[in-house]
Amino acid sequence: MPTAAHLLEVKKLTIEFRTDAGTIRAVDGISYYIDEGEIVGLVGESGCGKSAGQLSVLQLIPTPPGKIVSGEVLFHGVDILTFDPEGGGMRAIRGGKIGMIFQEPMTSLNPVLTIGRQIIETLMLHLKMDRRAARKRAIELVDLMGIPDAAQRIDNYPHQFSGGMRQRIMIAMALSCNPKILVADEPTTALDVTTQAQILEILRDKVKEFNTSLLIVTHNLGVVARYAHRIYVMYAGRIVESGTAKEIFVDPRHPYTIGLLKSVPRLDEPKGRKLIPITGLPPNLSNMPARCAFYPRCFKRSDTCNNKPWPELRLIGGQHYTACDSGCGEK
Amino acid sequence: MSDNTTLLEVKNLKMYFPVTKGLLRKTVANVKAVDDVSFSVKKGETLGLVGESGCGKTTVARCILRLYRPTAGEVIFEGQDISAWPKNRIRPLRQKMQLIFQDPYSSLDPRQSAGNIVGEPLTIHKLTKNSDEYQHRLAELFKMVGLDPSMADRVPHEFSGGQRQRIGIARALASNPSFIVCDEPISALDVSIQAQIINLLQELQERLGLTYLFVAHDLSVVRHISDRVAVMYLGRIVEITDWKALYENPLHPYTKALLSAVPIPDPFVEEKRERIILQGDVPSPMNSPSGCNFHPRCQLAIPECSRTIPTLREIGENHQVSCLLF
Repeated sequence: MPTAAHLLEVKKLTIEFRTDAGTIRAVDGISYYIDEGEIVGLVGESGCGKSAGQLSVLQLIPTPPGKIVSGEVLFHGVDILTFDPEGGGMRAIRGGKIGMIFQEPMTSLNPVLTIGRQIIETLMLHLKMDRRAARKRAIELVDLMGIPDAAQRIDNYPHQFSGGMRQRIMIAMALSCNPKILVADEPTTALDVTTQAQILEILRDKVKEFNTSLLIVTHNLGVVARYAHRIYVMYAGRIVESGTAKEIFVDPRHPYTIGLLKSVPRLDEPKGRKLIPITGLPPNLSNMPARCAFYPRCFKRSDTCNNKPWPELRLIGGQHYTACDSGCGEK
Repeated sequence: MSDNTTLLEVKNLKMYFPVTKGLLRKTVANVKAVDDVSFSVKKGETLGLVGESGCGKTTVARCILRLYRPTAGEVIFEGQDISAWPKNRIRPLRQKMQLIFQDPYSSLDPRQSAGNIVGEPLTIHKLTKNSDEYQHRLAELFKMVGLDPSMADRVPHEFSGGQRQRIGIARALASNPSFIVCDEPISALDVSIQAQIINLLQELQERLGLTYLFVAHDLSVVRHISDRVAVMYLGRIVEITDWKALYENPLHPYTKALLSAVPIPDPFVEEKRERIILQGDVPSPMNSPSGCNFHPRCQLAIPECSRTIPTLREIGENHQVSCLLF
C-alpha cells in the first residue's frame, strides 16, 4: 500500500453520459483532495458536474448511461474505483467509511420504515452490532442531533418529521458508523434560511466531534464562505479555480468566480449597486469545443483564448490555482 | 389614511382555510394562513415580503390578486375595496394587477407558443384592434424583456430557464398593469442567471413606473430590490419598515435571527459574525402558539408573551414592530 498524503484524492476523473443527443462529458478530468478533519466546498451551478463528480467516488453513478472513463479515486491510498461496485469492499466504504447526505431528505429516507429501523440497520450491517446495542446507539445519535424525545421519536416514520428534522436524521444516519468522510450534496438547499443555519451549524459541530472530514457540494457561495476551509469552483465539468476560502473570496482570479461573486447581492454592501450578471447561458455539454468553455460568457476573453485548448489549472500563489490564462491569473 | 400616492392598502386581512372532517365535511379547525395583516404599498415603490415557507406570504399575494376570497379584511386597490367583488368585476381588474410566477418551468403552457402565451392577455382584454397592432405590441413586449421577437413561434421547452422567466414577465406586462406581484421570481433560476432577471425587473420598474410586491425568502435579494420590507412569521407581520431601518436596525427578535442566518460570501466577515440560531421548527399554523406566535422560539421571551397577542405598533418613523418588548 503506497503512503497517501491525502485522506481522499480524486485524480483526473472523467465521467461521460450517453444520451440521445450524443455523449456528454459531465466531468472532464477533475482532481481534488480532502485531508483529515477538513471541510471542503465544491461550488458550481446546476449541470456543472459537481454531483456526478462526487457520486462517482462511491460508484453511485448509474451505469449505463453514465460511465467513468478514466481517473482514480484514492481513499487511504487505495484506488477504490477498481472495486466491484456491488462487492463487499465497496459496500463497506459506502455508508461505512464514507457517509452521504442528500439534498432532499424526504426522498432519500425510506417512507415505510421507521427512522429508528433505518439507523439500526446501518449500525448492524457496518458495525456488526446486535439489535439492542444498535437501538441504544441510534437513540444516542438522534438525541445528539438535537431532536427532543429521541427514545420515542425513533419509532416514528419520516413523514412525521419536518424537513429540518429529517435532514438531522440523515446526518445522524450518515455519522452513525463514524465515517472518515461525510459527503453532503446540497444539504440545505431544500430548507428555509433559519433551518439552513441550524443544520449547517450542527454539521460543522458534529464533524468536529466525530473527527470526520466534510465535503459540501453546493451552489451557494455564502454557505461555503462560512464553513469551508478550501473551495473548488466548477464550471462545465472542470475545476476552474481552487484555493483556501480566503483566497477565493478575497482575491478571486477566474472570470467565472469573479462573475459569480459580482452577480449576487450581499447583505453588507452599500445598496444601489447594479448587479453585474454573467451574460449568456451555461454551455450545452454535448459537442463542447476544445477551448475554454467559459469563453462565450467571459468578460476578459481575447482571441488567443478562442484558439487554444482549455487552460490547465496553474498555481498562482499559496494554494490558489486558476484555469485561466487571460492575464487575470497574474499576481 | 390612504391618499392618492397609495396604490394598495391591505387592512386586517385574514385568510383561514377550513380543515374538514367526515361525511358532512364539518369544519374541525382552521389553518390561519394569514391572520390580521395590514400594510400599504405606495405608487412606484417595491414592497418586499419575506418569511420562511408556510408563513403565509404567498397567501397574502393571492388574496390581493383575488385568486382567493379573503375570510375577512379589506384589500383596497386604487381606492376601492375589492375584497368581496364578484368574479365578473375582478376580471377586468386583473388588467391592472399581474403576477410573475416562481417556477418558469411549470407556469408556462408547454403546448402554446411563446407568442401565444405573451399575447393572450391582449386578446382576453381586447387591447389591440387588429392583427397588425397585435403583432406590433407582441414584438414590443418581447424586446422589452430582452427576447428576440423572432422567437415567438417557439414553445417553452426550447427556451432556457432565464428566457422562460422573461416570457412570464412579458406576459405579465402585456396588459399594461400598474401593480405586479413577483412571487419568488428568481428562486428557481441558476445563480448566474438570477442577476439578469433582477436587473430586468428594476429596469422595467423605472421605465414603466411599476409598483411591485416582491415576495421572496432570500433576504439579500429583497434588500437589493425593495424600498420597504415586511417580515412575516406564521401568518402575521412582525416588522415592517423601510429597507435601511430593517437591515441596519432590526428590532423584532425574529427579524434579527432571520438576518443573522443569511450567509455572506466573505470568510473574513463571517468569522466575526454572531449567529442567532433559532431552536426548533416553525409551528403548524393549524394550532399556533398562544400569545405571540414566536414566543416558543424567542430568546427574549417573557412570561407575558405567551398570554398577550402583540399588535403591530409604530415604534419609530415608519417603523412598525409587533413585539411586547417595545
